[in-house]
Amino acid sequence: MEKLFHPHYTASIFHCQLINTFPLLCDLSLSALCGFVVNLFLVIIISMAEPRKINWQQWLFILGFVVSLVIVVIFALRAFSHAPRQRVNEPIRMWMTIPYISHSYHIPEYVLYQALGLPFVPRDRRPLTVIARQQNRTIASVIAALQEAIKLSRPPYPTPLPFPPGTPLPPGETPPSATVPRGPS
Amino acid sequence: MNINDQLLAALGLYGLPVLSSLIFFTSLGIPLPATFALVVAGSFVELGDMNLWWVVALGAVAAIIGDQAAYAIGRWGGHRLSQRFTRWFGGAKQLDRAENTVNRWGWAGIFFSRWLVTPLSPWVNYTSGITGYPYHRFLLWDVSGEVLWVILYVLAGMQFSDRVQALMETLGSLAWVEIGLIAAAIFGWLLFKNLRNSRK
Repeated sequence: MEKLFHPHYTASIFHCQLINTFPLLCDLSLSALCGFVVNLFLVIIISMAEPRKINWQQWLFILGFVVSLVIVVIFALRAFSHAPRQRVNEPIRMWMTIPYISHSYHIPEYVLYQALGLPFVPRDRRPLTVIARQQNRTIASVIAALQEAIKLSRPPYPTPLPFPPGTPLPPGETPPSATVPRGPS
Repeated sequence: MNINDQLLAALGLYGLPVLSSLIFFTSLGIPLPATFALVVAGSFVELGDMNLWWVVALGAVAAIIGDQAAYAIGRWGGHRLSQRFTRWFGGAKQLDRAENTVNRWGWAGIFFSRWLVTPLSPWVNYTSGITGYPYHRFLLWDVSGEVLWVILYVLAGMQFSDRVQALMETLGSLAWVEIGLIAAAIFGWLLFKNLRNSRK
């Protein structure tokens, strides 16, 4: 119990909560700011004009102003919700190369090459569309094979070695402990 | 098949020539994914497949040449066309007023459309040429803006090299936020001016 209220634990819990609620806080503060701007603008307009004397041109400008701000709020919320704050599983596209997918999914390149039945090629710049054409396969089947390999490289399955099995280790290096199979806890 | 995906696949395969061509034709107003290509190029730089300095140098040069070409088209083709149009249908006074406005505020439009509101960039190139915005000033703001654009997006691609699609979705939404803010500022200013005049 004492451990639970240790300053480090409470600080880390607070930190996690802050990170999780950060996008929401941003959204709320942005909405509040936009609301404030609209209200301020309307107050200025009302103070400048007698409401019944606003002509059609002025109504058009008000409409344009409000529509523009609605666009701002909608796309700002969208931008915040899509913000690349943490690691995301990007959908695999035909323009991607094996090194890019390996980098994006944090999976060794050789695993992806093995999934496609290809030898490891250093600095390979071929996009998936070219690999699919060379293998006489559809792009969908290539993507499906890669997705399966990615799935099998993540928990609860064993984490693959960072280099192909059987590769001699550099002198003084020990095999990584992450090769131990991890089951669901 | 998606044409943008095909172009990005060609970028991965052939590198800089494809990047420069994409940027050049986008500056002329052809809707190609130049900004996305720059971000992907940044990611390839991070992976060691492309050289940062070559990407920045060729990207900026391609963008500047494309902008000069669009300006020249506007200046030699568009200006004559607009003169003929006003001779036939009138509106010379309005054209003069537009030219004065562009001469006064053109630098901001040129500089900010290069890197902040990039979808407007080709149209600013043509209107700068049509309205006869001084060439030396156009070149100055164009070079400053384009170099900033290339550096910003390549660095963003390097920073978020493992999630370029998510980054592009965010940047795409932010472009609309900027356009909305500009539109709101213009409508707000027009309304303010209109109300002030009607009170006098």
